[in-house]
Amino acid sequence: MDFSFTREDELFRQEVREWLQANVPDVRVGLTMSREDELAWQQKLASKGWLAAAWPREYGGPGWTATQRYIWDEECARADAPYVSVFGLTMCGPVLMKFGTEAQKAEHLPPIANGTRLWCQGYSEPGAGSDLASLRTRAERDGDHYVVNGQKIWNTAAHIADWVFCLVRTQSGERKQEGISFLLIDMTTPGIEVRPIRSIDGEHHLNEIFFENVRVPVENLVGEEGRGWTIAKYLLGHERTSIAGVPIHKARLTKMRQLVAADPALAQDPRVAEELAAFSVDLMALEFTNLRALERAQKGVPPGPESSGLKIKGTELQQAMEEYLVEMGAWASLPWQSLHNEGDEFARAVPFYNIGRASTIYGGSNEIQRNVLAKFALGLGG
Amino acid sequence: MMDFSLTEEQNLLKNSVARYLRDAYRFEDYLSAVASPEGMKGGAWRQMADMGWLGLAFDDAAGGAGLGPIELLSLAEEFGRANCVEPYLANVVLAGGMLAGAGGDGVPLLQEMIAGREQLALACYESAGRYDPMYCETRAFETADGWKLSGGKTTVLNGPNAGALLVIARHAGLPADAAGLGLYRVGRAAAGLQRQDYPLLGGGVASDLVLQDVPAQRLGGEAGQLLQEVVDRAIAFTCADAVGAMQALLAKTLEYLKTRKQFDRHLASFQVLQHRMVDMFIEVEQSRSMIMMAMVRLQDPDARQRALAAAACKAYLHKSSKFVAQQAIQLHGGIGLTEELDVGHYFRRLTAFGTLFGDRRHQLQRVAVLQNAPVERTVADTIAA
Repeated sequence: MDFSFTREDELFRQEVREWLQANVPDVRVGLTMSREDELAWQQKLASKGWLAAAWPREYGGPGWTATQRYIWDEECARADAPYVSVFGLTMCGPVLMKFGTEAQKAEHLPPIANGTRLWCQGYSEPGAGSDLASLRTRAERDGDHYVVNGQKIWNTAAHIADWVFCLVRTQSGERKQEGISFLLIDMTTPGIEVRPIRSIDGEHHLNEIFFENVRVPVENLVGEEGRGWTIAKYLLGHERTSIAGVPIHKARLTKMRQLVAADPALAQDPRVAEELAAFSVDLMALEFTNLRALERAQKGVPPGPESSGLKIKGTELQQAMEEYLVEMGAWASLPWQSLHNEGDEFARAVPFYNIGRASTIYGGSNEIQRNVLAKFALGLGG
Repeated sequence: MMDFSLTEEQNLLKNSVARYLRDAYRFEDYLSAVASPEGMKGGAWRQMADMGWLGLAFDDAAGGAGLGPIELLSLAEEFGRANCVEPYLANVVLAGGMLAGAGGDGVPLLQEMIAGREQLALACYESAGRYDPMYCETRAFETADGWKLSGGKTTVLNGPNAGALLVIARHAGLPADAAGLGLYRVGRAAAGLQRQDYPLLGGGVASDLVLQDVPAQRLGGEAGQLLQEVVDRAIAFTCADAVGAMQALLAKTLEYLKTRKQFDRHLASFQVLQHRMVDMFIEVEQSRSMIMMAMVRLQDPDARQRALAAAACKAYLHKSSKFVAQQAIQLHGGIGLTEELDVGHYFRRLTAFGTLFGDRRHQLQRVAVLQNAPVERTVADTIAA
């Protein structure tokens, strides 16, 4: 058993740390960035060749090992670098690499890798949340087009996206998982309307997307018609080593320690130190479970249900830390202000605590993740 | 004999508050209140004054109804249930409580407040003292022109609306001493007073104050013991308010699970969600019990028992309210995270509740200190008394 990073890994860490120190823009982390800020940051990363960090060389990635990617994520969080939108880079891109045609790859992968095209995800619908397969947005074949009608919801960053990848129903089969197709849709196509949803942090990250007779060329179908569910499942299991959010938790804990050190009342309270120590221990357990998943990925073991456990423990830890940050702030947590305001770190803690409740709901709620583990890790149930 | 029920009069009052708020303080009224600079719904405060609500717990002499904590906390519960953000806590419980306790020159101002003609705010916390209301660096000094105050206060609830500010200041002793504190009246436009106003998490408005040789009128005598009593009553008031909000969330979540379908079944039919709802229900019931405990024990002749009741109540409810609020959102899913639904607004109210006047950790520390004090009485003793 060996947990250590190699000398090459440590040199790599040094290199990315220095670059990030010199290049991270002054943008508030944790917000949906403006389109301009998102594109500017992506293009800066792309110019260094580090935007598509998880991609192989042939598609414009740096060809890093899983360990290097892990170090990269850790250093980005440490440097408070803005989160890069995941929809193109970690969702649509990998799907196209595995299921896309050569033409689709040529059309879409370069603009994702060079940071010139932004994506969003069109999965959930008002009637299809945890039960995603009951989705009803229809795509009917009309010559060499699909005609799409329906509604999507909870579309993060749809208001700044160029394209959306969608799950649509092309057929009503016996099983509702059948007849679902994976479709790429240009957001400028006539018949698409994006409406904002304001969330309880007071911000606009989320949207609804309405489709009315939206004509989509058939060449935008990914994989076979009616086999979209397989792609959706592939995507869910794909990000098994980053789902736990370990680097972000580490950075958050570091920030909490800084805030404690700066406030005598907190610094002198042994219960505060104990609480932070407890978070660090939970984080250690999560990190080493995560490293075990990383090791399996390196050895080429196909992903199993382990990402469900990582998601559950990661989101629970994140929410507990956000909750504690609010409590650390005492009176300073009470002013209600926009996240965009400069100002007190503790007043900003409240909106983060509010929107942080989303993580146990999205991406398969934690209840659904427990169902997955019951079935696939323990062999329980039908 | 043991009896946890309200009297007929108490029930009448509680129901009339509930009925008024159900009609006059709907979700859209709440939204209009939080969108206004005052954080209030236009006209509602006047109506509450006319209905006699602002004087419930004060003596007849001050224009009040002479009722006790049971009536006051019943009203608070309905405020929480309706997500009513009118500044009752700041005006009546905090400022009114101090004026009633101080007596003398403060009584006319109390009468103005009860009649709805004047709004007030109590400035009693300083950042450096965290949740200790006795911690006071703000100094009061006597000059040829009367008392003057210098210092700073944080999170003065309702500060932006107050015609008169009631400021706690120290004429003797060290910042953390319980003795040497006085209550002072400061005009809203007083020279040397700087106010920074802001909206509060969960509704309402507040101010941070900086005072530089601000002329003030002293009201009453030593204020420390009175301040602790008033803060403890405010804690109990916010706890009852939280229980109302928790009950609203429980009812809304139950309703949602019965109507929302996923996997061709109502969410209410999934055992894991049933158990979660049951845990929420249990926490609401335990919390209601703590409020009943507080209603009785706040009338205990022993000051330590009154303080213990408030601290224990808050220590329990901070935890239970977080659980109920968080699970209400979890069980609603995405829709619970939007500003369009009231659930998220109750969530914010309960988050603010957790912080106000000290969180669970702070209250547990108080409970430990108070329990180690010599006199001990049981719940049964108190009820028998």
